[in-house]
Amino acid sequence: MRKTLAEGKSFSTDELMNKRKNGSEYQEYTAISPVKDNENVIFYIGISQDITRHKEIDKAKTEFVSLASHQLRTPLAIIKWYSELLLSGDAGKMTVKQKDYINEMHRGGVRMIGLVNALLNVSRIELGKLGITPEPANLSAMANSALLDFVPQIKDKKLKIKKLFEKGLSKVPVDLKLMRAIFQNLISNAVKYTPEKGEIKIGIKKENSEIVISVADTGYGIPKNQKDKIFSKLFRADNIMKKDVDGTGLGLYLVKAIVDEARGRIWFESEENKGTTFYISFPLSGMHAVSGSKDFSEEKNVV
Amino acid sequence: MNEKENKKTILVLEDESSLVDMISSKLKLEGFDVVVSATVDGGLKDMEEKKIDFIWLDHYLIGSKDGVEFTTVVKKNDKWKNIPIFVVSNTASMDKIKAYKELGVTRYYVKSDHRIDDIIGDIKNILLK
Repeated sequence: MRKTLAEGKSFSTDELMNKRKNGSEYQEYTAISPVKDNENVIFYIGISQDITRHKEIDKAKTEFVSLASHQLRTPLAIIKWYSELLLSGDAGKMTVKQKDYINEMHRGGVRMIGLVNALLNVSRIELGKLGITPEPANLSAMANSALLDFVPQIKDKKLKIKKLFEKGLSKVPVDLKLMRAIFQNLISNAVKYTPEKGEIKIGIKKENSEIVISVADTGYGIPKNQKDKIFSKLFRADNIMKKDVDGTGLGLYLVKAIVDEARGRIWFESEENKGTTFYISFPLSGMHAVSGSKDFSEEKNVV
Repeated sequence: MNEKENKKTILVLEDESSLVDMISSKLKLEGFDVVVSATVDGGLKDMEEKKIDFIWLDHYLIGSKDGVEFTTVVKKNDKWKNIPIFVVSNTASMDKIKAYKELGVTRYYVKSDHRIDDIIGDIKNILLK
């Protein structure tokens, strides 16, 4: 504090413990700012606030998300693990049909776990608990790594993947977990909503003073009258619902929430039955840092 | 040395009864002896009375004490501090994971994100190498 003030800068902290006249302790937010006459500090203005209640609420929010995640995940873990036991023959040999049915139960369980993870991420974002910690990252390597998660479905659907990664791009400061989630969500959507033998193009390039990432598909597209809802929580377009493809309706909401928090931009172009391209851009300085609990559950889309 | 003397004992601290039965059976099938407890105090009593070679620990247990408190006591005891601990929980809060890692647990798993065979495979790699 002394060093910062001696340099003529403002200082603030929410880590101070102070004592009231009756001896009881409380947590204080303090901000001290110098008032200058040209270059000379003539006096300081200090503001203090009792933030004990704010900190208690904050702690309660974190504990709520932790407990909720535990309570929701436990029965799902039971379903998942018991079906794995059955499938591996621990309870004896099963008929082909029995195995199929248990497989469906296992898949349902994995889908529910993905939904719970997504909902927990939504609650963290809405409670203001999502932290962003940027560190220099090779975005092409991250995109390649995220693509690996979808190799079985890509092979199954005979999808063509094109990578248009600008050569020589320097590392960009991004939160690794959140950037991975962004890539996974956009690629997952492209793979899910593109019919067999379609094409997906992933682009990473520098444009003016921004890094622009694009994921383009030749899939079902977004109906014109529903484009304004595409980033809404739990929204799934009518044409997708008819195709009976799994999805939580939360992926794009989460991606947009992360991009907005990180001070990037997200937009898309789409035509029904032709395809969709999602674009995300960040300044060259990367994601904006935000302090928070840095919890972010990975949504598993692979069964 | 006979087979019984070679058998490693795993302490399973888990409060969800349907999971305890299944984890216990699975570990016994893999050749381990298993001791179970649903409370921190029960777990510590087992540590005193039996020779434990590995700990499978959930975070939320019955009673007011949790896995962090159990781990803190274990790591402060010279007899127990080198016993490997896998925290297998369904809470994925960074503050909890950080607390366990700082205490020196071997690994942290979010139950619903892993196959039980994979976790048991990792236990075998540590205990049977």
